[in-house]
Amino acid sequence: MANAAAANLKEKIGAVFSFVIFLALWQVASMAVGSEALPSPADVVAKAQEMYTSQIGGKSMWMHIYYSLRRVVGAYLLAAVTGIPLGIAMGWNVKFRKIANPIFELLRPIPPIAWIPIAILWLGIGEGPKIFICYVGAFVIFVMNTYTGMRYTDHLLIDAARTFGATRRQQLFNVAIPASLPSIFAGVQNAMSMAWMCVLAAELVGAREGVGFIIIQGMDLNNSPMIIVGMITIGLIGLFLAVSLRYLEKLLCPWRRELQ
Amino acid sequence: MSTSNVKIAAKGISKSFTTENGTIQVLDNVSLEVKTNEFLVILGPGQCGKTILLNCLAGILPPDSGEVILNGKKVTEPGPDRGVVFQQYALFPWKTVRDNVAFGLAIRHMPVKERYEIAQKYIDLVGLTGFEKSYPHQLSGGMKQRVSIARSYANNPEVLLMDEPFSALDAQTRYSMEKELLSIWEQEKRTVVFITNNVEEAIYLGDRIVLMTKLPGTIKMEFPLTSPKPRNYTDASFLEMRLAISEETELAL
Amino acid sequence: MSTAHASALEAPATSRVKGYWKEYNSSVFSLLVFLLIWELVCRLGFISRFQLVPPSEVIVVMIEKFWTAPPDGATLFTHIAASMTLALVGFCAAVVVGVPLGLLMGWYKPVMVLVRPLFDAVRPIPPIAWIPLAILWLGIGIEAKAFIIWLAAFVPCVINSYIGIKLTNPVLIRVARIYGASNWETFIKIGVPSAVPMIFTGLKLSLNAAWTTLVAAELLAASEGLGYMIQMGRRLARPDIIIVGMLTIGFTGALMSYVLTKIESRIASSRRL
Ligand SMILES: Nc1ncnc2c1ncn2[C@@H]1O[C@H](COP(=O)(O)OP(=O)(O)OP(=O)(O)O)[C@@H](O)[C@H]1O
Ligand SMILES: [Mg+2]
Repeated sequence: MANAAAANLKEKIGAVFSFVIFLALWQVASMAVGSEALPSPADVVAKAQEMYTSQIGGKSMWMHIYYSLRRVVGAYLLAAVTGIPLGIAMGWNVKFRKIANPIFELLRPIPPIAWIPIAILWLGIGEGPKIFICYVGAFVIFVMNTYTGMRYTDHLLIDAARTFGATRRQQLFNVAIPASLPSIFAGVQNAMSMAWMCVLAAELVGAREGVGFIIIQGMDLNNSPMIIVGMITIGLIGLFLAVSLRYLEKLLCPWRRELQ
Repeated sequence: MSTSNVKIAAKGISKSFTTENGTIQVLDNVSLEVKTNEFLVILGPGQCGKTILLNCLAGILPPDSGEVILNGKKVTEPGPDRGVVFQQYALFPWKTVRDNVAFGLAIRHMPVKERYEIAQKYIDLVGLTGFEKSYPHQLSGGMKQRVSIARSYANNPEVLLMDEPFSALDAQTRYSMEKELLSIWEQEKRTVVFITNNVEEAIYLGDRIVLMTKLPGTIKMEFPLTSPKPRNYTDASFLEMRLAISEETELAL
Repeated sequence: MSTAHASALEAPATSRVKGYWKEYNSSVFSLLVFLLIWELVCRLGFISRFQLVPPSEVIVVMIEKFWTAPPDGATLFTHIAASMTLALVGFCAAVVVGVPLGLLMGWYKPVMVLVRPLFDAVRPIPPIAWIPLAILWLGIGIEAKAFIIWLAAFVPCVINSYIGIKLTNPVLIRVARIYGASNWETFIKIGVPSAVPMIFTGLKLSLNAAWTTLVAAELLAASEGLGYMIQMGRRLARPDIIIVGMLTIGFTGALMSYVLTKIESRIASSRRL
């Protein structure tokens, strides 16, 4: 116990130490470069304060965050309610798998970001293409993880359920789906980080609001502190989303606790 | 008359598998009969097709030829009348001990309260009181096997098929589990088909021992055991029987 | 006699073909139905030519793009070559830096304690969020894109090498130490080889990330490459160009992953001998 605590403390000190070194190096570098392109940490903090209290492109920073989150969460939920059932169907029903898999395999290698141009052609430049891109990115991951989980379900468990007289339907709902939950939950995490990346990409290519817009605006204004504040915001939101989903998983998948 | 007393029977079962390396005959014309409430032990060396035979009896695996008869009717599917204790436990990792034990009852849509009462009874019977809310990964191998036994028992099957349930346990736990299994069986008699590769375990538990050969698995011999249970490992009759069986087996003892 | 002989030879062959057909007929069927619906939707005018063109026309355009540059400025091969060069340069640079860093982080505690917090802090920022800063710092040339791709590929390289070496069987390490191997020797002879499978998993993720990020970078700033091609397709409202580009992106990405998998199995089998 004491040993673990000591090691933990050592790690914390190490972390603080490494951040201090990092900030010091950054400060020195920015002084050495001496140009707008590499602001000092203090510049960034000042800029952050300014950005979070004023308006950018006619909207407050919080509104930009809200726009991005709305796109991501909407597309993500849509992808979950369509992708997970599709993955289950593909994993459970051989006929369905044979029909759906070839089309899926054809489209799967295309990165979601490569859908941006056609999405804009199809859906214009409003919310449509952004949600669509996030949807595509998350959907593929949901389907793949669910499908993999279903296919790798230990057949012994299905056999065990059969010896208790479980119907095919009960085998699906009482065994195959719960057995796939860990894999599905891995998808839940990955799909979110994918959707978060996709919304950025979509906003970079064309948007008037959102955190992606903030950093592209920073680029257009040649304002690197603004970009850096935007990037940090993006990182923090991504982290927040990941942590909340991990918490959700622990709540819903308690038997997995020890495996991690 | 004699057939009316037979609970489950295998009639000329053969099974082979075809893989890239060719076809292997695993079971060759295996026949056996198990009487009601009899404790039958199938003893055979490793990889001789014991699990395959058991899966055929359970109806999980259809035999290539021959048939399995339960209560005079042909078996085509697994069913709640035959409980199986699998070699690798086959517990549901997402269910607590209690829900694992109650699984068969839930499948039959028994109300939750009743279900848990029955589950509790069998959890107590196998000595896992206090672990109702644990998950399988929190249990030791022996405890998992007990859950598996309780799960089968709770479903009240007519025949209990057990596949080397104690082979993964250390010697100490194994002895105590054998003892407990006997006492559970004495309390609630069932027709049991018990698979093992351990001669002592076979003699300790069985009413009758069926000896299997190496691949392709066939039945080589039968040994009726009449001495009263629980038996003592060091009795002269026990050792004699052990010697007699060892001479007939291809087991490396 | 001879007929019997011939049929005995033929029987397995035809049955194998039949077996394949039975396995894949519904897949072929489903693809054909998919293409047919697509074709009909376009032909019957449910959708404008500026949004979607039928698959038959996509195929024609794809074949033409092998040697014609217009309307997007380069032939398909030029685009593929430009994109692949960039992706592979960024990927290789990431492997060269990331794998050793991950391995060292996993083996030497001080490296871990110093590097890991920074790494964890930077990791939640998706690589494409670096695009504006990279362009600001390095201009819109090849350097900015290479940097972004490097960054994208770098992260999985580090993480997987780190995990791989952390999972080294401690018994092996102790045995090596008992036989008098130095820490460095143990690292090279025991730690690194046992991390190889995990490293390869990381490489596949890296390649994937590199390819995705490349497309994003080329959408934003490029004058050739597959990402540029689909972006031009959008500006010109030419869905056929976009679809050819998308299919090429998918196919090229899958091909590179396939090659990497082959290399992995080659290495794995040579290690087993
Ligand atoms: N699905 C299968 N395909 C091919 N061969 C199989 C299959 N299942 C079992 N076998 C082969 O059948 C033989 C008998 O297997 P089985 O599992 O019944 O042995 P066992 O007697 O239960 O062994 P153990 O004592 O190790 O449990 C083995 O050699 C195995 O390789
Ligand atoms: Mg077995």
